[in-house]
Amino acid sequence: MNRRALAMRLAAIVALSGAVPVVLLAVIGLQIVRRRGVAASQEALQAIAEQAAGRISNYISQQRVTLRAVAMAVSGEPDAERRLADVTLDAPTLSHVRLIDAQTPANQLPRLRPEEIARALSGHEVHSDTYMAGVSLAQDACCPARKPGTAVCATFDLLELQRQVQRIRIAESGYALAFDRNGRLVASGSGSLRAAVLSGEPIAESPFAVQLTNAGAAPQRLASSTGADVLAGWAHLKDLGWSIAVEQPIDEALRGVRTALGLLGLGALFALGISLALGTAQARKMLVTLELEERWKTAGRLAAGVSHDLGHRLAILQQTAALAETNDPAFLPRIRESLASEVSTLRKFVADFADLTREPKAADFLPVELNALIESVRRSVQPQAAAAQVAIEAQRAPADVWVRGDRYLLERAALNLVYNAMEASSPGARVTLSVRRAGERALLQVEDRGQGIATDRLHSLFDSFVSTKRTGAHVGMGLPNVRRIALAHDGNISVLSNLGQGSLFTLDLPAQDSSSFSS
Amino acid sequence: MRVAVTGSLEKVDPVPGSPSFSSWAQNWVFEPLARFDARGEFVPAFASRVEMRQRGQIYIELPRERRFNDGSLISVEDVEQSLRANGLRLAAANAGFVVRALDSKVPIEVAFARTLVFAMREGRFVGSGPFIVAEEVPSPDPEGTSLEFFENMDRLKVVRGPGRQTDSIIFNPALPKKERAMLARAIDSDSVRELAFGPGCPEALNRAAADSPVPPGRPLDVLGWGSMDRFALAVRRRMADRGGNADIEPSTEVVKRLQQRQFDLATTRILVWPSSMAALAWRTGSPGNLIGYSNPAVDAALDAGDWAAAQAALHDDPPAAFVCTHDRYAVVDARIKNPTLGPYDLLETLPDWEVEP
Repeated sequence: MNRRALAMRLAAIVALSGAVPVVLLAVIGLQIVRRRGVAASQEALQAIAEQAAGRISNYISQQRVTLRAVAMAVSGEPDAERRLADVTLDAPTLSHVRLIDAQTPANQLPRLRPEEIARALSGHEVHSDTYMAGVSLAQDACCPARKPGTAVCATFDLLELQRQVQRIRIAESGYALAFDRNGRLVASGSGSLRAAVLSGEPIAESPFAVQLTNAGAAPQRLASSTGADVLAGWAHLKDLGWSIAVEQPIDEALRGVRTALGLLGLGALFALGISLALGTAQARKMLVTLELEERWKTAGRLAAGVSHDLGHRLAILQQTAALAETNDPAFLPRIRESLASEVSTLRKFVADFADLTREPKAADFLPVELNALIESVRRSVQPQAAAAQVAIEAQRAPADVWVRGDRYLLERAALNLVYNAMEASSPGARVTLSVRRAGERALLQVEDRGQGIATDRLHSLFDSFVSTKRTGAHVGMGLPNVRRIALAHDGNISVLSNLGQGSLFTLDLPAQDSSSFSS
Repeated sequence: MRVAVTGSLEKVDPVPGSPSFSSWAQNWVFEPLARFDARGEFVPAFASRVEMRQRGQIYIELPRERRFNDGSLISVEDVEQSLRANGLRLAAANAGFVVRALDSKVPIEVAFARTLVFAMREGRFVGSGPFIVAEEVPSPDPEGTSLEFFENMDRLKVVRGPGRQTDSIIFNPALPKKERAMLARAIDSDSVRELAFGPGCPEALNRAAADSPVPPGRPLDVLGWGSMDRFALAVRRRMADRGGNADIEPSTEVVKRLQQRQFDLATTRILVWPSSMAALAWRTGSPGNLIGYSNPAVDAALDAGDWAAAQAALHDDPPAAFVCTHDRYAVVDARIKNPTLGPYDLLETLPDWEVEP
């Protein structure tokens, strides 16, 4: 992972750890605001519905009070009929004001059932249900007259109630509806529904109005007959049998809340963006500082390892030089052997460093067949193995196992593992190189039967400058380099080891199908 | 096209003066020979040319090769029969024809204006108008319709036009001329208009001086009908001590009592525009003159085509008090681009309306 990616990852972790609670709080807050907005709108609509119901109730009461007053003032006069007829001129909402008694012809009686007429003539106040007279609403009512056995009756013109309902506007699109006890629409503030007032056809809200009449409940959110989803407030006038619905399209009712939600959401996103930007900037700064620090540490450890190993080699070469200065021919074989050994050691030392200078680049990767690779490795180490009296065995997979990678680096990684295995092995022992495919993975394994690795060292085995063999030419760069190569190939390196029984290193790489190389 | 009207509905026929509201559709099915323009003068309709000639004659030219809606050719005989149904006769003259009156009960202008071209084919009337009658469906009469009801209705709009009828109080002709004149001035008052029709009623065409006193005399009964009950009550109140009974009767009963002169004062709606149409109601012997009003000065002025003189004569010997001329309204589909009400027949301009797609 490069520095930029690491910085982004670190920034994301930092930002998310701060932003997630903020986002969660924002989401919860938004939900609360939204629900509260819906509830507030419904409460407002409910209040308007109840207010409208109150006004309608007052209006009807006023009509009845007027009729009562007229009945008491006029019905006893000799010219009562004429004066009652004239009432409509002064009280235009009262029409057909007349005195009735038991002899009044049926076609002049109000729209009341016979038992209600009888009740009216026996001194009680009665009134009919509301009904449609043309496009206007009307209600017939009777109240006691002065003379026993008579009553004063009138038709209330309820056009004013229809006007009241039609005049109720809530914001831009809200309106009120009035239903009679049978769910018939009798007044509509919505022009598109007004035809139902004439036709008497039930609309979507009609069943709810009937429910309300029957002491049930009506929904506060529903699909209106206008086709819109609406919030609704309901009120019922028990005396008149009317139900009042005040509706407002949800989109309009929650417009304010949605604006607030949008602003809150934008605020949260802005905060998240700021958090990420600051986190990224700070993470990059920290990484630069850490990298610088790490470089100094690496340089120190490298210097320590190099000075230690080169110091050791220098001491051996000084001893060899001292032997050479004796000019004693007897020391020549020893001097020759020593120089050859040190040259070999220093060459390997240089090779390890050379490996570090080569950066694996995915763009340069080519197909590599692992069976062929381990055979090549086996041949390369054969001379050293023979010298160390260690047998090298290559176990091929039954079929070709392809990977995509840098052949040189993969071979260097395998050689490193094999060299380590050989050094850990006693003369006469066997080191096994094997290849197999496990699903989508290609496994290259190196197994030895050496002394094994102590458990407490396993966790740091692939860290830089950590070696199990600090006495020789090992600055601890081999296994870290193997790990670096494995990671660069989207792979990994792992080890299983038991003290006294040996170790098994596994280089795990993504397998490729040979067919994918044709393109 | 579907048309809703408020009122009684009978079969659409070419008979003029039908009380049925289906008469509104007459001119769409049966073309008139001529129409009134906005000044109340004739313009050709079915006829290709119309000219007022000397008194009592109208010169017309007829189009060639016109057909009725059943495809049959319209003959001169068909036009002659249509004129004869309205008390007129046709005589060839030069390139056209001259129309004269068969009798003298209504002026020729009135009879000519009411003539619709028709023929009887297989027991039914056929016309040459742009529409034929598909069906007539009676429905409950929404009397007392409030314009507010139609406000804010998405698919409708209200069209307004000047009225041609005046709500009036007609007098029994047996009442003395002087008393009728004083009653006319007393009843044609703002207080009656306000009580009967509320605010906003435009003044009547023939409005007399306001607040004239009611002449002394016996109590007079007021005969009313239908939605005119408030008008009858308002007039009775205006009559004060002379206000007798207010009888609210069905319209058929009112017509009967008018014809039998069994009334003192009666509410009625009188055709007042164009001025020539006054002859229908007031010329001696006219079928529209229900109460049998007769005034030689009015007859002479009408026969002479002097409408102003006829109005003056009516003012001197008033058959009625003209109280309130209501505007006329129609509620039409909002997609109609240019709806206007006809100056005479409410919807005579309908064939010219354009509908947005």
